[in-house]
Amino acid sequence: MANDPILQCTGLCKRYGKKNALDNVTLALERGRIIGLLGPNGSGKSTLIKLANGLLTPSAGEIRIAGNVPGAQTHARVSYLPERTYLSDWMTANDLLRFFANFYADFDIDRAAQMLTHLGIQPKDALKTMSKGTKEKIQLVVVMSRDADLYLLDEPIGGVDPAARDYILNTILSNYRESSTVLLSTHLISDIEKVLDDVIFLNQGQVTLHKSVDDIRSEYGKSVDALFREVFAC
Amino acid sequence: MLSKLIGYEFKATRRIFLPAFGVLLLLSLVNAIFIALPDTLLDRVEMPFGVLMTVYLLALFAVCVLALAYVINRFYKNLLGDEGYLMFTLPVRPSQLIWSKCIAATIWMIVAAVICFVSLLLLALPSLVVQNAIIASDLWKILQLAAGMLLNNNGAYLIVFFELIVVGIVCVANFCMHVYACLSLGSLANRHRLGFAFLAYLLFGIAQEIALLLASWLFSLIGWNIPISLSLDAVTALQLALLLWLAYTAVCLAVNFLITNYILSRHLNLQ
Repeated sequence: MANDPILQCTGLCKRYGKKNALDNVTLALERGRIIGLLGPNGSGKSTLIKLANGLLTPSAGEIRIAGNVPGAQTHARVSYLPERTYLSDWMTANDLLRFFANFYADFDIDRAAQMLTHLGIQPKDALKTMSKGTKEKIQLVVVMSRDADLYLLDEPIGGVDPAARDYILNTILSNYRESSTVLLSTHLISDIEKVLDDVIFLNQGQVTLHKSVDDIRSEYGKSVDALFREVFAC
Repeated sequence: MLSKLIGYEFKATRRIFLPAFGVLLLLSLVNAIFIALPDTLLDRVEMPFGVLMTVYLLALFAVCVLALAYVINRFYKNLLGDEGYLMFTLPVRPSQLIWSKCIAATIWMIVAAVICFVSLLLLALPSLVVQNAIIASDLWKILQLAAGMLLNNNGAYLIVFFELIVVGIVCVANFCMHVYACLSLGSLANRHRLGFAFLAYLLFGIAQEIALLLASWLFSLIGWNIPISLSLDAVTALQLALLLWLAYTAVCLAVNFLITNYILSRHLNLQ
């Protein structure tokens, strides 16, 4: 249903051996929001996103996407950008677009082709000949060329220069549907603060704050970036 | 979706296998031409012939190793490595991913075996055809005789022949699925995943040996007087034995699949 949360975690835990990566996380994400998942390195941001994609199995609790546990059904509605390159080197950019068009019914191949042209990437170029930054941009292009209900973007601006950051943020903002939710993890807050509706602070696997950006500004009288620096001061 | 996955699997791997097969067949053809040369001429090109023959044997070995390495590497890299981030977020079930890998690997292994056989046949051809025409005609007679035998006895041998092919295919598929089960078990560890996969392979082997020993010990206790009709002729007994072998391998295949599917569906932990 449209008013149901697009993503819901209940008592979600993930342990690696004795280390708690996520500790009893309970939260619900509304539809039609751009949400920043913020926290220092090792706070559990990637773990939460991987759990939402079914790439990890919860140690306890559950996570649901539009009421369903992660699986083939949710993968059809979630567009995921991992923090690493997952592309097969033997493919060309064109092969990748065709691959996405083959498997995802909501993939807009024309939109993706236009974005590649705009980036100056030749469709027949093999991915193995491209730089890491170019591969990351191609990944973002294919992920944002889907008309998904939920976009899970793990550190999309993590390892790129400031000019590329602007391009990435513009790509995200100009390609997602208004009714969709974008969950964006990062620790580079100042760059993305202006696009966020809500923020979630994660610290040592626990949600310490989940508020709208407007509420934070009125309640704390400071920006999200300033609050983050204060909360996570070493 | 399964057919799409299999198609993608072949697209990803044909660029490795097809050139390897091509090189092997080319080398066997070149060596066959050398073998077909008259002895006096062959003596003059002994050196390059020796080198080419060595290269051919290495290529033959490489194709076998390639098929084996493909089974392990493709599953590990494409599902349990970084590429798994894409594959496991496709709108497909883990079982479809597993079967697509298994079907493609089985087909490649069988094709590799056929190509090796054909290349050996190519190598043997000059001595059969060029140097001794009588042997060639004998070969034709043998083939005719074999075809006749297969069709004789109400096609009983034909059934055995097909059973052998099916058993062979299921055995190859079971081998691939067994490797996948071991790799999946290894992926449960936080570190040294390939090492744990190898350990799982060894433990499976030991468990199978123990099970066979126990089974033979059990049979020796209860004796072999199982009430099977003794009027079975040799061909029917062979058919029955092959069917039993097929059933046993199919059960092993199912168990290996269930282990792999359970781990990749319920305990997936991509690092």
